[in-house]
Amino acid sequence: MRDNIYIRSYVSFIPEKRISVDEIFAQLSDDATDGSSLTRFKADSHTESVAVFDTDPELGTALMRAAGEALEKADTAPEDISYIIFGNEHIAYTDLCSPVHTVRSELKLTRARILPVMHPCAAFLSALDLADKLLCGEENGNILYLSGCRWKSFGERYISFAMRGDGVGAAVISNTSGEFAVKGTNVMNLSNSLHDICGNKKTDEKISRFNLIVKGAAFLKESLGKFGVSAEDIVRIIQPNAGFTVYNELYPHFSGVGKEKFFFDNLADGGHICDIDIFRNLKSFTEAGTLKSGDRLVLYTPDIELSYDVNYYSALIEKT
Amino acid sequence: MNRSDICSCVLDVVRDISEDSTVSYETEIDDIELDSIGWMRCLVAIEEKLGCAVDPAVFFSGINDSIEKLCGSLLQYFNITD
Repeated sequence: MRDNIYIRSYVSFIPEKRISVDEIFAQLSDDATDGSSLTRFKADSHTESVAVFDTDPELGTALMRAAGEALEKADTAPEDISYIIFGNEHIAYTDLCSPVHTVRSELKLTRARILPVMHPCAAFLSALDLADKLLCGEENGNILYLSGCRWKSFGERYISFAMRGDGVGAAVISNTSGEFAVKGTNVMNLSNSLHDICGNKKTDEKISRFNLIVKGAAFLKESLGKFGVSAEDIVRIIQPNAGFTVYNELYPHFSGVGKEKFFFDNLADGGHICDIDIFRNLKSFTEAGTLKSGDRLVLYTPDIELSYDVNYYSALIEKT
Repeated sequence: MNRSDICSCVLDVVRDISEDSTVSYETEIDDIELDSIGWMRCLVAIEEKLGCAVDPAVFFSGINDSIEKLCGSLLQYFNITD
């Protein structure tokens, strides 16, 4: 177990503009919706509307604001940031600029190396996993984590069990102190694609979809064991806003972890916003004010490739 | 567990989760309004009702193009021949 990595600050912003799930569904073909109806999708996802950035400058401006606020909340000087880790191509480049590079120069993070981790839905947890290795030997080592997404078509927003929204997030990960201590991390990469490297079909789509949930549940169970805790020892699992049925029925069935341990409060509004869901949900949960020092949470997220290959990440964090 | 247990369990679960009481043994899988999450829910519910695990490769097999075929695959999986 590690004892020297902390989440020092974390912020998320989602735009005020919303598009309803009804409106997005109306724009999708039957083929695109996997035979699902709007009624069934809403029952399974519990999502009503998604947040939307109209333009790339809105995305970039929000990212700059999030990064500045994360640094300010962490009380971390720009020169003390060693790395900027990010996980989404939307902030690597837009038609106008690279938002990540712009944040680095505008906020004078002159010592920071930019490190992409292209597991968009799980890059924050990947950063937590990498942090002790990257910051090893630094007396006051800090990582600025950035995330942001803006989906430009209705087709990109629908991903079967969830509807993707837009937003940004930023966090400072430190080896000095912070609101949460990272007590353990776990990672699993699952080869789960429908085709082999030559393009030959090797498995049925239904089996691959099923696998990504069953293996995720097994990974979650394995993570608890690796962390040396049981589900009863943790206050809550903070998972993405990617489906109600998935985490209310399927994960509990296959992992044995009770559905009351999962977090569902932000499903209705905003959509699934990459790993910004984790910041957003963590903030919502902590703002309730019930967390005490020593309380433990599990952050969990699967990063699912278009091929159905999956990168699973989890972290055990403890309120300091 | 016999043929009737399995067949009625499958039919009850699919009718319940698809919210379609007209589903019968003859109904084709493609005509049932369930997405992949819906079919996963069916598998989970069947496992819970029968009290045992079902191989997803058997449940999701492409040869199960009707409820009758799905029941047949499960009967074969559980080695029930009567």
